[in-house]
Amino acid sequence: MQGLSIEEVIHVADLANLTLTEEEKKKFACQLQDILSDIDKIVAIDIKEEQEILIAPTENYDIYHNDEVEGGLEMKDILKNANKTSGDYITVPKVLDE
Amino acid sequence: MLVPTIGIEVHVELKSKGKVFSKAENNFNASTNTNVTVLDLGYPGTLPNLNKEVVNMAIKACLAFNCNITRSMHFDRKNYFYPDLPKGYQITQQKTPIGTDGYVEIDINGEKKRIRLERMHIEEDTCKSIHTEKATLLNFNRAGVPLIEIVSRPDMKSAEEAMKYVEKLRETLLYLGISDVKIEEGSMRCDVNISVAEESSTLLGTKVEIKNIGSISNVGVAINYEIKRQSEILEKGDIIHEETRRFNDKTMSTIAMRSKETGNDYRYFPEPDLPYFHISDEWIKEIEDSMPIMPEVLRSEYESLGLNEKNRNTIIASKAMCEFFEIYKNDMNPIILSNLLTGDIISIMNKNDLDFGDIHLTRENLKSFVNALETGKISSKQGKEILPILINKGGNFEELIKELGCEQISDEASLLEMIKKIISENPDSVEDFKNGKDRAVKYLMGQIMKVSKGQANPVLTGNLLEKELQKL
Repeated sequence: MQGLSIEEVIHVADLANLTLTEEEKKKFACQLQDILSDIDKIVAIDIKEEQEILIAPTENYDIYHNDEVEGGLEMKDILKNANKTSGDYITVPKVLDE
Repeated sequence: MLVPTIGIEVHVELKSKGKVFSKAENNFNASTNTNVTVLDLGYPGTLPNLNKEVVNMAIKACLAFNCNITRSMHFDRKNYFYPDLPKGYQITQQKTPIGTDGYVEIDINGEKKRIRLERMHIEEDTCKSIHTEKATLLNFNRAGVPLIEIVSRPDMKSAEEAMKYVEKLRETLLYLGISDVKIEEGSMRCDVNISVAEESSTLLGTKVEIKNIGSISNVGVAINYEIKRQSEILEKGDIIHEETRRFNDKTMSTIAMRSKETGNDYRYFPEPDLPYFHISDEWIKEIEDSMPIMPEVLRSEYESLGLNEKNRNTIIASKAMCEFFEIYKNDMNPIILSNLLTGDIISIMNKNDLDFGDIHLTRENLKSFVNALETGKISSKQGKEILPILINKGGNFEELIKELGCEQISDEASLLEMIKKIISENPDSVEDFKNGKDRAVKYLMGQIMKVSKGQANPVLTGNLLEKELQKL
C-alpha cells in the first residue's frame, strides 16, 4: 500500500488552517496512513448496491422533535468560553476573503 | 456569437419556530446572541435532533417545484474551516437531497419555459459574521437556522430569464408560507453561476460564481455585467478562470473573491449523529392535501375576472394585498376593486405608514364605495377625496358623501331643470352650437357643473344636454 505523501499532509493541514513543522508532517503522514489502512479494511467488505449502509450507530430511525422552542443560553454563558468578545459579540481575527 | 449559460443556487431560510437541529428560537430580529444553545455553538458532546416541521416545509417546497421526494434520506458533513462554523463542518444533504429533478415554469414573451431543478436539500445556516476594521464579530442567532438550497440546472439564457426564475421561486415560497423570502434581509440568497461560450459550441465556457446579490433586479445587473466582462475577455483571446466573484451594489460590478475550491476539498461524509429519515406516502399525501393555493392558480383566476396584467402581478406579488383582495373580490366589482387596491388604497396606506391591519375601511364602506364608483353615484375625483377618510377614520359612507356634498345628482328631472335654465341664460352659446361649434357644448357643461357644484352626473348630464340642444 502506498504511503501518504507529504504533499497530501500539507493539503489536509491547509484545509484545517494548521501550520505543521517538518517533523510533524512526517509524523502525521504515518498516523494518517494508519487510519486510512483501517478504513481500507472496511471499504474492502463486499456489500450489495441496494443495501442501506449503516451511517449512524443506531437502528432507531426517524427521530424528530416537533418544532418546540426552549430558552437558549444566557448571554454570559454564550460568551464565556470565547477567547475574545466585544459587546454582545464573540470576536475572531479579521477574516479577509469574504 | 457568444451566448451565456446561467444556473442559480438559492438558499432560503425557513420560518419554523425553532432551529433545524436545536430548540433555540429561529428569529431574525432578536437581539445579538440571544437565541443560542450549546449545540449552535458547536460544543463537544452535543447531538443534533431534526425538527420535523423543517421536513414538512421542505416537502411542501418539493411538491410546489415538482421534485421527486427522496424516501430514505440522511445528512452529510461538509467540512471546512471558517469562523462562522465552530464545529468545522456544516450539516447538509450531499448524497440524499430531499428533492431531485424538479422544475419551475416561467413566462418568456408569452411562452412558457421550463427551468429544471437539479436538487433541493436541507441544511443548517452558519452564524452571521460582521467584518469591522479590526476584527470579525460573530452573532450565533443565525447558526442552525433551517435552510433549503434549491439548485437549478444551467437552463437560463439571459438576465431576464434569471430574474423571472428567482421571482417565481420567491413568489411560490411566499405563498407556501414557509419563508419570509426577503432578499434584502438575507432570508433568500442567490448565487449565480454563469459562463459564456460560442453559440455553435457544444461545450460550456468556464463557470464563474457570483455571490452577495441583494435584490432580484441586481441579479439582472450582475448577470449583464458578467456577460459583458467575460465576452470582452474571450474576444481578446484570453481565457476565463474558474473563480468566485462578489457583486458590489455601489459600483454595480463584480469583483474577484477567491479562486474556486474544488468540491473534494469539503470531504463530505455521512453525519453519524443523525439516523436515516423515511418519508412515507401517507406523509406526502397529508401535505399534498393541505397545500395552499399557488400564485399560478390565482393568476389565471384573476385573468378570468378581467383584471389587467399589471394589477394581477401587483396583487400577487404582495401576499397581504392578495389576502385583502381575496376577502372582497366576490362582494363587489373586482376590476374596480383591483384598480383601487393597487392604486389609491396602497398609496394612501404608504403615505400614512399603515398596514392592512391598521386601516378603518370596513366591508360595508368598501362595498358601497366601489358600487358608487361603478354606478356613477360619485366621480373618481370625488372618490379620491372620500377614500382617505374611509381608510384613516372610517365612519359611514352614505353619511360622508352627503356631508361632503359629494353625492352626484343623477335624478333626470333636477338635471333637466338645471340644463334648461343654463340654456336660456346663454343664447350666444346656443347660437354657436347651431353653427356647429363643439366648444359651445363644453362651455354649457361647465356652467351646469358650476351651478351644481360639481355634483351633476357628468355622463347623464352630457346626454340630456345634447338632447335638449337638438330640440332647439
